[in-house]
Amino acid sequence: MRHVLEKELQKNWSSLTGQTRAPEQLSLLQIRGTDWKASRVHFAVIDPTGQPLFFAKVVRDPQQNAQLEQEYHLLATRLSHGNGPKPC
Amino acid sequence: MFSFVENDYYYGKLPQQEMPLLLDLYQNKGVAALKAYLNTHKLRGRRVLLNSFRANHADGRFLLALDLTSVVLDLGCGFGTLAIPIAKVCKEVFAVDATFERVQFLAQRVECEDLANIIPIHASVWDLPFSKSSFDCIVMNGVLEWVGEWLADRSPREVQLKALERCRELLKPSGTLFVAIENRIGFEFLYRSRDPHSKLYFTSLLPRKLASAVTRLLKHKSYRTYTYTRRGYQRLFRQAGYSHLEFYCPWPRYQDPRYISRWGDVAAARYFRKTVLRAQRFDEYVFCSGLARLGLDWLFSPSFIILAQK
Repeated sequence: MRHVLEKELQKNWSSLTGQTRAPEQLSLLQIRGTDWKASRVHFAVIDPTGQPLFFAKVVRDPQQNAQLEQEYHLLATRLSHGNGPKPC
Repeated sequence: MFSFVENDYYYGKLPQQEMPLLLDLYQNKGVAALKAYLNTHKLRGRRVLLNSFRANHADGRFLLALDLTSVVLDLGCGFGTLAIPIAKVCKEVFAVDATFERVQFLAQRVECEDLANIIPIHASVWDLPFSKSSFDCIVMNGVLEWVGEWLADRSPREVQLKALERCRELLKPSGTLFVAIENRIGFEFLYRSRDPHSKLYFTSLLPRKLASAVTRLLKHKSYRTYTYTRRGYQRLFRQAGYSHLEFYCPWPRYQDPRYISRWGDVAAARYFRKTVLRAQRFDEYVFCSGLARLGLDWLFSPSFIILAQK
Protein backbone atom coordinates (compact mmCIF):
# COMPACT_ATOMS: atom_id res chain seq x y z
CA MET A 1 0.00 0.00 0.00
CA ARG A 2 2.86 2.35 0.83
CA HIS A 3 4.22 1.88 -2.68
CA VAL A 4 0.86 2.70 -4.28
CA LEU A 5 0.48 5.75 -2.07
CA GLU A 6 3.97 6.97 -2.95
CA LYS A 7 3.16 6.70 -6.67
CA GLU A 8 -0.14 8.55 -6.24
CA LEU A 9 1.50 11.30 -4.24
CA GLN A 10 4.26 11.71 -6.83
CA LYS A 11 1.63 11.93 -9.56
CA ASN A 12 -0.51 14.50 -7.77
CA TRP A 13 2.33 16.37 -6.06
CA SER A 14 1.84 19.74 -7.72
CA SER A 15 -1.92 19.87 -7.06
CA LEU A 16 -1.39 18.78 -3.44
CA THR A 17 1.49 21.04 -2.49
CA GLY A 18 1.72 23.74 -5.12
CA GLN A 19 5.34 22.73 -5.70
CA THR A 20 6.28 21.85 -9.26
CA ARG A 21 8.62 18.94 -8.61
CA ALA A 22 8.16 16.11 -6.12
CA PRO A 23 11.24 14.91 -4.24
CA GLU A 24 12.72 11.68 -5.62
CA GLN A 25 12.02 9.82 -2.41
CA LEU A 26 9.10 11.00 -0.30
CA SER A 27 9.37 11.17 3.48
CA LEU A 28 6.47 9.19 4.84
CA LEU A 29 5.72 8.29 8.43
CA GLN A 30 3.11 5.58 8.82
CA ILE A 31 0.90 6.35 11.82
CA ARG A 32 -1.71 4.07 13.26
CA GLY A 33 -5.16 5.67 13.16
CA THR A 34 -6.35 6.56 16.61
CA ASP A 35 -9.45 4.40 16.40
CA TRP A 36 -8.46 1.12 14.80
CA LYS A 37 -12.06 0.00 14.49
CA ALA A 38 -12.57 2.77 11.97
CA SER A 39 -10.02 0.92 9.82
CA ARG A 40 -7.76 3.86 9.20
CA VAL A 41 -4.04 4.26 8.81
CA HIS A 42 -2.47 7.67 8.36
CA PHE A 43 0.64 8.55 6.46
CA ALA A 44 2.23 11.86 7.37
CA VAL A 45 4.01 13.37 4.39
CA ILE A 46 6.99 15.26 5.76
CA ASP A 47 8.97 18.06 4.12
CA PRO A 48 12.82 18.08 4.27
CA THR A 49 12.81 20.29 7.37
CA GLY A 50 10.81 17.72 9.33
CA GLN A 51 7.46 19.54 9.16
CA PRO A 52 4.33 17.67 8.07
CA LEU A 53 2.95 18.85 4.73
CA PHE A 54 -0.29 16.86 4.96
CA PHE A 55 -1.72 13.56 6.09
CA ALA A 56 -2.95 10.83 3.79
CA LYS A 57 -5.70 8.64 5.20
CA VAL A 58 -5.94 5.08 4.04
CA VAL A 59 -8.50 2.38 4.82
CA ARG A 60 -7.23 -0.90 6.20
CA ASP A 61 -9.81 -3.11 4.55
CA PRO A 62 -10.74 -3.09 0.90
CA GLN A 63 -14.44 -2.74 1.71
CA GLN A 64 -15.94 0.69 1.29
CA ASN A 65 -15.74 2.59 4.53
CA ALA A 66 -18.75 4.86 5.05
CA GLN A 67 -17.14 6.90 7.81
CA LEU A 68 -14.11 7.69 5.69
CA GLU A 69 -16.30 8.68 2.75
CA GLN A 70 -18.21 11.07 5.01
CA GLU A 71 -14.92 12.59 6.18
CA TYR A 72 -13.78 12.97 2.58
CA HIS A 73 -16.89 14.94 1.61
CA LEU A 74 -16.64 17.08 4.74
CA LEU A 75 -13.02 17.85 3.95
CA ALA A 76 -13.77 18.53 0.30
CA THR A 77 -16.56 20.94 1.25
CA ARG A 78 -14.34 22.82 3.70
CA LEU A 79 -11.46 23.03 1.23
CA SER A 80 -13.69 24.21 -1.61
CA HIS A 81 -14.22 27.48 0.30
CA GLY A 82 -10.51 28.23 0.31
CA ASN A 83 -7.63 27.87 -2.11
CA GLY A 84 -6.16 24.76 -0.48
CA PRO A 85 -5.43 21.48 -2.24
CA LYS A 86 -8.25 19.07 -3.00
CA PRO A 87 -8.28 15.74 -1.17
CA CYS A 88 -7.53 12.76 -3.40
CA MET B 1 -5.75 -28.22 7.89
CA PHE B 2 -2.72 -30.20 6.65
CA SER B 3 0.01 -31.69 8.81
CA PHE B 4 3.50 -32.59 7.58
CA VAL B 5 5.25 -33.22 10.88
CA GLU B 6 4.70 -35.71 13.64
CA ASN B 7 6.21 -34.08 16.64
CA ASP B 8 4.93 -32.54 19.81
CA TYR B 9 6.88 -29.29 19.43
CA TYR B 10 5.15 -26.49 21.29
CA TYR B 11 6.12 -22.86 21.16
CA GLY B 12 4.14 -20.19 22.92
CA LYS B 13 3.78 -18.23 26.11
CA LEU B 14 0.26 -19.58 26.68
CA PRO B 15 0.41 -22.85 28.63
CA GLN B 16 -0.01 -25.84 26.28
CA GLN B 17 -2.53 -27.52 28.60
CA GLU B 18 -4.84 -24.48 28.30
CA MET B 19 -4.98 -24.60 24.51
CA PRO B 20 -7.74 -27.26 24.11
CA LEU B 21 -9.97 -25.30 26.49
CA LEU B 22 -9.32 -22.01 24.66
CA LEU B 23 -10.02 -23.62 21.31
CA ASP B 24 -13.22 -25.17 22.61
CA LEU B 25 -14.32 -21.83 24.03
CA TYR B 26 -13.66 -20.04 20.74
CA GLN B 27 -15.35 -22.80 18.73
CA ASN B 28 -18.52 -22.97 20.81
CA LYS B 29 -18.97 -19.56 22.40
CA GLY B 30 -17.15 -17.20 20.10
CA VAL B 31 -14.44 -14.59 20.34
CA ALA B 32 -16.13 -12.46 23.03
CA ALA B 33 -16.24 -15.41 25.44
CA LEU B 34 -12.63 -16.25 24.67
CA LYS B 35 -11.49 -12.69 25.36
CA ALA B 36 -13.49 -12.57 28.59
CA TYR B 37 -11.96 -15.86 29.76
CA LEU B 38 -8.42 -14.73 28.96
CA ASN B 39 -8.91 -11.45 30.78
CA THR B 40 -10.59 -12.85 33.88
CA HIS B 41 -8.14 -15.74 34.30
CA LYS B 42 -5.12 -13.54 33.52
CA LEU B 43 -3.36 -16.38 31.73
CA ARG B 44 0.34 -15.94 31.10
CA GLY B 45 0.92 -14.95 27.48
CA ARG B 46 -2.74 -14.09 26.84
CA ARG B 47 -1.76 -10.86 25.08
CA VAL B 48 -0.31 -12.74 22.12
CA LEU B 49 -3.67 -14.38 21.49
CA LEU B 50 -5.70 -11.24 22.21
CA ASN B 51 -3.52 -9.12 19.94
CA SER B 52 -3.88 -11.59 17.08
CA PHE B 53 -7.49 -10.36 16.78
CA ARG B 54 -6.43 -6.72 16.38
CA ALA B 55 -5.88 -5.76 12.77
CA ASN B 56 -3.62 -2.85 13.72
CA HIS B 57 -0.95 -5.23 15.02
CA ALA B 58 -0.44 -6.28 11.42
CA ASP B 59 0.12 -2.77 10.06
CA GLY B 60 3.59 -3.73 8.84
CA ARG B 61 1.80 -5.40 5.94
CA PHE B 62 1.22 -2.00 4.31
CA LEU B 63 4.87 -2.02 3.33
CA LEU B 64 4.19 -4.94 1.01
CA ALA B 65 2.99 -4.44 -2.55
CA LEU B 66 0.26 -7.09 -2.52
CA ASP B 67 -2.71 -7.41 -4.85
CA LEU B 68 -5.50 -9.87 -5.55
CA THR B 69 -3.15 -12.11 -7.56
CA SER B 70 -0.51 -12.44 -4.82
CA VAL B 71 0.26 -15.80 -3.24
CA VAL B 72 1.73 -15.46 0.25
CA LEU B 73 3.48 -17.83 2.65
CA ASP B 74 3.27 -16.89 6.33
CA LEU B 75 6.04 -18.82 8.08
CA GLY B 76 5.42 -19.05 11.80
CA CYS B 77 1.89 -17.72 11.44
CA GLY B 78 0.97 -18.15 15.11
CA PHE B 79 -2.71 -17.38 15.70
CA GLY B 80 -2.99 -15.52 12.40
CA THR B 81 -2.03 -11.96 13.39
CA LEU B 82 -0.72 -11.25 9.89
CA ALA B 83 -2.19 -14.12 7.88
CA ILE B 84 -5.80 -13.03 8.37
CA PRO B 85 -5.45 -9.32 7.43
CA ILE B 86 -3.20 -10.25 4.49
CA ALA B 87 -5.70 -12.83 3.21
CA LYS B 88 -8.25 -10.04 2.77
CA VAL B 89 -6.12 -8.35 0.11
CA CYS B 90 -4.47 -11.21 -1.76
CA LYS B 91 -5.25 -14.43 -3.61
CA GLU B 92 -4.02 -17.11 -1.22
CA VAL B 93 -2.17 -17.36 2.08
CA PHE B 94 -0.41 -20.55 3.13
CA ALA B 95 -0.16 -20.19 6.89
CA VAL B 96 2.51 -22.47 8.34
CA ASP B 97 3.42 -23.09 11.96
CA ALA B 98 5.37 -25.84 13.72
CA THR B 99 3.08 -25.76 16.77
CA PHE B 100 0.01 -27.88 16.17
CA GLU B 101 -2.21 -26.03 18.67
CA ARG B 102 -1.61 -22.71 16.91
CA VAL B 103 -2.45 -24.09 13.49
CA GLN B 104 -5.53 -25.71 14.94
CA PHE B 105 -6.62 -22.38 16.39
CA LEU B 106 -5.96 -20.58 13.13
CA ALA B 107 -7.98 -23.20 11.23
CA GLN B 108 -10.88 -22.44 13.54
CA ARG B 109 -10.48 -18.69 12.94
CA VAL B 110 -10.47 -19.26 9.19
CA GLU B 111 -13.77 -21.10 9.54
CA CYS B 112 -15.31 -18.49 11.84
CA GLU B 113 -14.24 -15.54 9.68
CA ASP B 114 -15.23 -17.38 6.49
CA LEU B 115 -11.88 -16.88 4.76
CA ALA B 116 -11.58 -19.54 2.09
CA ASN B 117 -8.19 -18.38 0.84
CA ILE B 118 -6.13 -19.29 3.94
CA ILE B 119 -4.64 -22.76 4.03
CA PRO B 120 -3.41 -23.62 7.55
CA ILE B 121 -0.46 -26.02 7.48
CA HIS B 122 1.30 -27.77 10.34
CA ALA B 123 4.92 -27.99 9.22
CA SER B 124 8.38 -26.74 10.05
CA VAL B 125 10.53 -24.50 7.90
CA TRP B 126 12.73 -27.53 7.00
CA ASP B 127 10.00 -29.69 5.49
CA LEU B 128 7.81 -27.24 3.65
CA PRO B 129 5.75 -29.01 1.01
CA PHE B 130 6.19 -26.40 -1.73
CA SER B 131 8.09 -26.30 -5.00
CA LYS B 132 10.62 -23.61 -5.90
CA SER B 133 9.45 -20.13 -6.99
CA SER B 134 5.94 -20.54 -5.57
CA PHE B 135 5.37 -17.30 -3.69
CA ASP B 136 5.09 -13.58 -4.34
CA CYS B 137 5.74 -12.90 -0.69
CA ILE B 138 7.02 -14.79 2.34
CA VAL B 139 6.35 -13.39 5.81
CA MET B 140 8.57 -14.19 8.82
CA ASN B 141 7.16 -12.13 11.65
CA GLY B 142 9.30 -12.70 14.75
CA VAL B 143 10.56 -16.05 13.50
CA LEU B 144 14.11 -15.69 12.17
CA GLU B 145 15.64 -15.19 15.63
CA TRP B 146 14.07 -18.45 16.86
CA VAL B 147 15.15 -20.79 14.05
CA GLY B 148 18.60 -21.15 15.67
CA GLU B 149 16.92 -23.19 18.42
CA TRP B 150 15.58 -25.76 15.98
CA LEU B 151 18.86 -27.33 14.83
CA ALA B 152 21.13 -27.68 17.84
CA ASP B 153 24.01 -29.30 15.91
CA ARG B 154 24.79 -26.14 13.90
CA SER B 155 25.59 -22.58 14.89
CA PRO B 156 22.50 -20.34 15.14
CA ARG B 157 23.80 -18.12 12.34
CA GLU B 158 24.20 -21.11 10.02
CA VAL B 159 20.64 -22.20 10.77
CA GLN B 160 19.31 -18.69 10.11
CA LEU B 161 21.24 -18.62 6.85
CA LYS B 162 19.80 -21.98 5.86
CA ALA B 163 16.23 -20.74 6.59
CA LEU B 164 16.80 -17.58 4.53
CA GLU B 165 18.21 -19.61 1.65
CA ARG B 166 15.16 -21.92 1.77
CA CYS B 167 12.87 -18.86 1.61
CA ARG B 168 14.86 -17.52 -1.32
CA GLU B 169 14.24 -20.74 -3.21
CA LEU B 170 10.52 -20.54 -2.56
CA LEU B 171 10.21 -16.92 -3.71
CA LYS B 172 9.29 -16.03 -7.28
CA PRO B 173 11.99 -13.99 -9.09
CA SER B 174 10.29 -10.69 -8.18
CA GLY B 175 9.04 -11.92 -4.80
CA THR B 176 9.63 -10.22 -1.45
CA LEU B 177 10.67 -11.67 1.88
CA PHE B 178 9.23 -9.76 4.85
CA VAL B 179 11.20 -10.23 8.07
CA ALA B 180 10.27 -8.49 11.32
CA ILE B 181 12.88 -8.82 14.04
CA GLU B 182 14.55 -7.02 16.95
CA ASN B 183 17.64 -4.85 16.61
CA ARG B 184 20.51 -6.34 18.60
CA ILE B 185 21.37 -2.90 19.99
CA GLY B 186 17.84 -1.52 20.15
CA PHE B 187 17.52 1.43 22.54
CA GLU B 188 15.26 -0.37 25.01
CA PHE B 189 17.75 -3.24 25.43
CA LEU B 190 20.47 -0.82 26.53
CA TYR B 191 18.95 -0.42 29.97
CA ARG B 192 15.16 -0.57 30.04
CA SER B 193 14.06 -4.02 28.88
CA ARG B 194 15.18 -7.61 29.02
CA ASP B 195 16.16 -9.42 25.87
CA PRO B 196 12.71 -10.83 24.91
CA HIS B 197 14.27 -14.14 23.83
CA SER B 198 16.47 -15.03 26.79
CA LYS B 199 14.35 -13.05 29.30
CA LEU B 200 17.59 -11.64 30.72
CA TYR B 201 19.08 -8.15 30.61
CA PHE B 202 21.85 -7.31 28.12
CA THR B 203 22.26 -10.77 26.56
CA SER B 204 21.73 -9.47 23.02
CA LEU B 205 24.45 -6.85 23.60
CA LEU B 206 27.05 -9.28 24.94
CA PRO B 207 29.49 -11.19 22.74
CA ARG B 208 27.78 -14.47 21.76
CA LYS B 209 30.02 -16.76 23.82
CA LEU B 210 29.61 -14.65 26.93
CA ALA B 211 25.83 -14.45 26.38
CA SER B 212 25.78 -18.24 26.06
CA ALA B 213 27.72 -18.64 29.31
CA VAL B 214 25.25 -16.34 31.07
CA THR B 215 22.16 -18.14 29.75
CA ARG B 216 23.69 -21.56 30.57
CA LEU B 217 24.29 -20.37 34.09
CA LEU B 218 20.91 -18.72 34.64
CA LYS B 219 18.59 -20.51 32.21
CA HIS B 220 20.42 -23.82 31.74
CA LYS B 221 20.57 -23.55 27.97
CA SER B 222 22.81 -21.98 25.31
CA TYR B 223 22.07 -18.60 23.79
CA ARG B 224 20.82 -19.41 20.30
CA THR B 225 18.35 -16.62 19.50
CA TYR B 226 20.68 -14.37 17.57
CA THR B 227 19.66 -10.88 16.59
CA TYR B 228 21.90 -8.44 14.72
CA THR B 229 22.49 -4.79 14.04
CA ARG B 230 21.39 -3.39 10.68
CA ARG B 231 24.82 -4.07 9.24
CA GLY B 232 24.71 -7.61 10.63
CA TYR B 233 21.36 -8.24 8.93
CA GLN B 234 22.73 -6.81 5.69
CA ARG B 235 25.63 -9.28 5.79
CA LEU B 236 23.35 -12.20 6.66
CA PHE B 237 20.81 -11.48 3.91
CA ARG B 238 23.50 -10.79 1.29
CA GLN B 239 25.17 -14.09 2.17
CA ALA B 240 21.81 -15.83 1.73
CA GLY B 241 21.58 -14.42 -1.80
CA TYR B 242 19.33 -11.38 -1.41
CA SER B 243 20.57 -8.42 -3.40
CA HIS B 244 17.95 -5.75 -2.70
CA LEU B 245 17.22 -4.84 0.92
CA GLU B 246 14.95 -2.19 2.43
CA PHE B 247 14.91 -1.46 6.15
CA TYR B 248 12.00 0.07 8.03
CA CYS B 249 11.86 1.05 11.69
CA PRO B 250 8.61 0.18 13.48
CA TRP B 251 8.06 1.87 16.84
CA PRO B 252 7.72 0.93 19.67
CA ARG B 253 8.20 -2.63 18.37
CA TYR B 254 7.35 -4.68 15.31
CA GLN B 255 4.64 -6.68 17.14
CA ASP B 256 2.73 -3.45 17.75
CA PRO B 257 3.84 -0.96 15.10
CA ARG B 258 2.27 2.39 15.94
CA TYR B 259 4.72 4.31 13.76
CA ILE B 260 6.81 3.07 10.85
CA SER B 261 9.43 5.06 8.98
CA ARG B 262 11.98 4.13 6.36
CA TRP B 263 15.50 3.60 7.69
CA GLY B 264 17.53 6.68 6.90
CA ASP B 265 14.56 8.98 6.25
CA VAL B 266 15.95 11.95 8.19
CA ALA B 267 12.93 14.24 7.80
CA ALA B 268 10.44 11.62 9.00
CA ALA B 269 12.74 10.75 11.92
CA ARG B 270 12.99 14.40 12.95
CA TYR B 271 9.22 14.81 12.90
CA PHE B 272 8.78 11.55 14.81
CA ARG B 273 11.29 12.57 17.50
CA LYS B 274 9.77 15.98 18.05
CA THR B 275 6.13 14.94 18.10
CA VAL B 276 6.04 11.37 19.39
CA LEU B 277 9.23 10.62 21.31
CA ARG B 278 9.30 13.95 23.15
CA ALA B 279 5.75 13.38 24.40
CA GLN B 280 5.85 9.65 25.06
CA ARG B 281 9.44 8.59 25.90
CA PHE B 282 11.47 11.56 27.01
CA ASP B 283 14.60 9.54 27.86
CA GLU B 284 14.63 8.04 24.37
CA TYR B 285 14.02 11.50 22.89
CA VAL B 286 17.06 12.96 24.66
CA PHE B 287 19.23 9.99 23.69
CA CYS B 288 18.12 9.98 20.04
CA SER B 289 18.29 13.76 19.64
CA GLY B 290 21.90 13.71 20.82
CA LEU B 291 22.77 10.90 18.44
CA ALA B 292 20.86 12.53 15.59
CA ARG B 293 23.41 15.35 15.59
CA LEU B 294 26.04 12.74 14.80
CA GLY B 295 23.71 10.99 12.33
CA LEU B 296 23.67 7.86 14.49
CA ASP B 297 20.12 7.78 15.90
CA TRP B 298 19.09 5.06 13.41
CA LEU B 299 21.47 2.57 14.95
CA PHE B 300 19.30 2.14 18.03
CA SER B 301 15.88 1.57 16.46
CA PRO B 302 14.17 -1.08 18.67
CA SER B 303 13.37 -3.40 15.78
CA PHE B 304 13.39 -3.68 12.02
CA ILE B 305 11.09 -4.72 9.26
CA ILE B 306 13.30 -5.94 6.44
CA LEU B 307 12.03 -6.32 2.88
CA ALA B 308 14.41 -8.50 0.87
CA GLN B 309 14.37 -9.39 -2.79
CA LYS B 310 16.56 -11.75 -4.82
